[in-house]
Amino acid sequence: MQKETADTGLQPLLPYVIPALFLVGWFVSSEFGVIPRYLLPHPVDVLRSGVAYIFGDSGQTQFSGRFLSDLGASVIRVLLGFLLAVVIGIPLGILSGRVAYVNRMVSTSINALRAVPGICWLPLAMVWFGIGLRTTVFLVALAAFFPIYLNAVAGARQVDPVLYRAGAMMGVTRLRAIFAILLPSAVPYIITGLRLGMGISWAYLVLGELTGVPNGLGAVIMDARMIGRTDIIVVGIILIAVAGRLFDLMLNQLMKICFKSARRR
Amino acid sequence: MKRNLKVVSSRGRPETRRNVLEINDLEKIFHADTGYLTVLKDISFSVEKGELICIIGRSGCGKTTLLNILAGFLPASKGRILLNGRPISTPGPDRCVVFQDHALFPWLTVRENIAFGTRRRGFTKKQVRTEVDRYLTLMGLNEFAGYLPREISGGMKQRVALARVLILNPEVLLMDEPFAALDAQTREDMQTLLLSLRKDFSNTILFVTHDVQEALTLSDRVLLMERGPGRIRENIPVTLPRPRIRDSQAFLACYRRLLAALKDG
Repeated sequence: MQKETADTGLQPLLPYVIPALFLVGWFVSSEFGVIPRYLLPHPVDVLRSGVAYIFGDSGQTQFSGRFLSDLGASVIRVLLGFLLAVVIGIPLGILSGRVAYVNRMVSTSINALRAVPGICWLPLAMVWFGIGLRTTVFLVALAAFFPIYLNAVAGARQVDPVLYRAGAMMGVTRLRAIFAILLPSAVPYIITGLRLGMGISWAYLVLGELTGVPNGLGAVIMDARMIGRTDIIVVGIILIAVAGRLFDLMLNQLMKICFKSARRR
Repeated sequence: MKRNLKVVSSRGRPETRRNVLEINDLEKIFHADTGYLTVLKDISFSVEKGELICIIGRSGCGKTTLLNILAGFLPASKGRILLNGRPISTPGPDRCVVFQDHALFPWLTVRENIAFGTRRRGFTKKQVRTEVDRYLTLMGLNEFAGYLPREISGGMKQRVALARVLILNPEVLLMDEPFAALDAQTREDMQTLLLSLRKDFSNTILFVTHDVQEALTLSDRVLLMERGPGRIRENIPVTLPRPRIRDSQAFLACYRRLLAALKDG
């Protein structure tokens, strides 16, 4: 038997071991000049730039004062694209998983589209929607759709048929069964799809924002690259990582609030 | 072929001597890849109110198919089923099933599973609570009200499965080898429980089993089915006095006779 007390004492720290080791390595290699500063800036410089970017007043330095509007713009784009993917992906996925005809009709098309890397759509999307909100939302929605749809299909398929019978004999109509039986039973799969979709949403957000939009976390990275500010690029990367993780946690919590079957997994 | 349907009920309920269920010339054909498979043929029998009938037969004789048709899960290829004089075709709370593998909703607690069907029956919240409490006590599940199905034993799951349908007061209770997956001792306890419940409930019960001893312990009448295609070969009233004593001479004689008949099928 392992020593339980020692384990529980250190366990909460476990997720931070890798980031801490990374930080130490970064700090040491920067201190001893192993990596030149124009390639990877010193962590202290990054921290300073990050603080100025996030908390500084507008005009203090080149990037200060932008943070809130950048974050706001990015969050709106991610959420709009993600919600669009959810609104189309989950109902279509459930329908496709439950009704064989629908699945036969759509699965070939969807799998063909899925084979196209999302970045291919960027030039076309720019022609269609111009630069800005709509292009980014389009890219995010398109990319997030596939994991959400596919997991909804899988979730709807794995529902034990005997549960539908049990529901039917207790007076649950076919339509009601979607909400009373199918959804709760498929929720673990749907959550997986939503989390994957949310992660991809942030990736495609940056792709959409690299095209020259004036604000957004991706735009900051692109602007910083233009003038060679690697410290701000790193700040942008870290902020996107933090935002992505926070959204993932919020999504998980939200689903647990909404569904018993998510809480009782 | 019409069978002699005169029944000697050991329970003697003169005031309720009317047919709840009438099955006329039922036939079920499955369409397999290689052609047709007649699973049930010439099935005719009737069931009086409050009767406990065991349908017994070897595996593959179509007894579960028969039950599924009576429940409304499968359409009959031919023939008619009348419940209190009205033909039935779809599942409904007047004919509830206890499945072999409990079929409880895994994301709902014991209490919520028992209450599941009541939502659609116009109970008030308070009525639901008192009713569920009554059934929890009746089934000896009070301490487990807040548990999930995966956290309780097989016998308890079947008690929950029984409670969630009894609470709906179905006209006919269809039981599909409900105790077959339980260990011998638990099975005996469940049989005793079922018989003791019949003192308080007047539901008509059709009980599918392949266990001769179980059939003789429980039933007022045994329908013996034969294979290929599934037919009712014998309609045997069980006149043994209750409570049935498994090692009494009369019981053992019946047991040997029925077992021999079953082997011929």
